[in-house]
Amino acid sequence: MAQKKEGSVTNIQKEMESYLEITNIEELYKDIPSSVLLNKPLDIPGPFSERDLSLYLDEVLSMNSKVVSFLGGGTQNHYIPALVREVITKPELQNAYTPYQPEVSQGMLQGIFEYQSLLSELTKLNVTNASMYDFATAIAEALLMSIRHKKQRKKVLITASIHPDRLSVVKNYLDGPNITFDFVEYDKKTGEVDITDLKKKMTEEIAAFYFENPNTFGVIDSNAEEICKIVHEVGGLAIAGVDPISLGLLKAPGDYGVDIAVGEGQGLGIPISFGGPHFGFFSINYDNKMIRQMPGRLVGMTKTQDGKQRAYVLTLSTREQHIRRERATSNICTNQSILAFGAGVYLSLLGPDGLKCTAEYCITAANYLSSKINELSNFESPVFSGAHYNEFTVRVKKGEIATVTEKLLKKGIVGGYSLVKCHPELGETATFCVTEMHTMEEINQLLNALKEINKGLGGK
Amino acid sequence: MNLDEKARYQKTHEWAREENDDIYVIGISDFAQNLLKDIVYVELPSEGTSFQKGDKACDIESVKAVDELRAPLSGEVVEVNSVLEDSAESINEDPFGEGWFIKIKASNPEEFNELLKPEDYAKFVETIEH
Repeated sequence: MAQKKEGSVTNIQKEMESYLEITNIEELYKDIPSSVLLNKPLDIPGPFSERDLSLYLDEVLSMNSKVVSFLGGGTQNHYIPALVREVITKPELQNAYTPYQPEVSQGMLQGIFEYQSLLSELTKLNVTNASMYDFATAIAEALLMSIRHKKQRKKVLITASIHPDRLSVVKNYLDGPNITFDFVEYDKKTGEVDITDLKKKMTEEIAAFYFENPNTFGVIDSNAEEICKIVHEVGGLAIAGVDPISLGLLKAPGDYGVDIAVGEGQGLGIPISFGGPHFGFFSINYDNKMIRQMPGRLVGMTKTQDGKQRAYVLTLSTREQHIRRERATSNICTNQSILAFGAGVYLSLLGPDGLKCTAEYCITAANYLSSKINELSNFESPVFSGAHYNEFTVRVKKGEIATVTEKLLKKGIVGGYSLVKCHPELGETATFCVTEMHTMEEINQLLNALKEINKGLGGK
Repeated sequence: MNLDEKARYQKTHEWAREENDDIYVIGISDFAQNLLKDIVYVELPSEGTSFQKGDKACDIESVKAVDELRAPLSGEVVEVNSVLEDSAESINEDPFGEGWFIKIKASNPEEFNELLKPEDYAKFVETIEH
């Protein structure tokens, strides 16, 4: 049977073009600056048949070699129990979005509710939302929320030790609504928040102060409680970025006075992938006014009409876009449900003891490795005197950290996250990250490699 | 539907009542509270905020919807009924009394006379009820 001519691709395209009253498909791109348009075909091989493509991909993938990574700097390589994937890939739960219809979504809604409850238990802040896009957007939304809550205040403070990638997102979010910010310096000796600088800058014009605990340098802030007190004295909100696994061991933000806790949820059973998709968590203490300024979805538990069964529904949705449209509290109208759900499964599998063990291994192994690196004459580790969680700073006294990283890679090791660009004042420094995934052999592998590099630099 | 005979109304269902010397009490009508069903939360402006007639002045959240109170008069907020932040139900129970929202010092008191008289507002409501 001959193919109908009018069904051919060119004819369909012509028909669409004439309907849109254009003569060339390129006209649709006229609003995009020509400098960012690709004016040539993409340089990719093919087309291949499915079988040939599969062979080609196998060949490319076989070029991967096994490496041991100490990179950290935003993501954390933690062990993911097989059950996490098993549970979240059940077809009836595989939905990246929040279910609006409680009558057909009880499973997913309960999953999110359990996640919220577990995170609230961890942060000791009793309201946690259904998750944010990632850590960075959670910080930005927390700062915007502080501005909505403290109506007359239009300025926020941010710790100078904030991760540069997170800062970049935060700047972007604050730019539109014209919110100004200032940095609070970190103590050059301890790596903690500079209390004197905070006291000086924390005035009644400031809506909130954001700090990280542990921070980008891996330093646990011993003044966290005092920081919150200083912020509260002038009526501001204390916002802390925390590592959820560290909370198996460290004091919960709700216990030292934090008003909003945010953080990266990836460590809780989510693969690093290529830096995403991840999810951010967002917890606050219950307050009638604050909760209405909170961004994101909230799942609540209620009872069926006859009072006999528990039921889960989206609650306080009047803050949100599908009800309030342009007057919604935030432009986040979705979340990372499937990943948050995975985190809930992860936490339920580990339990408080498992989480504590994991955090203990991380902190012990990292501090051991750091002290061992410090024994090498050309390295200083950690750079700061504060207590460290599972990341720490390593400074090369002679030579460049980039060279060290290069040499490590040749030995099958991915080294630390370079701070040279974002914190040039620290010299040739990088942060290294250790988790329960690093065996003693791998830690020694890094130490031996660094020993050799140390010798090459003329050190002992 | 209850009406306050001393108050004047606008078509978006807010009322204003003169208290003294250009100070007016503002709230929402009995008809509006009945339509919104159980009111659970209101967000009130800070004292000192200025509004033009028709500006959004407060957010009203009920179990069914979110609505806003539009200022029936131009002026400056001199007092807010902050009790409502913890007991929004008094808007349902007593919309013309304990359920008042804000007091405004009118910058253009003439606007009060432009508002609907109770009987005209009642007629207007009848037209939308059917």
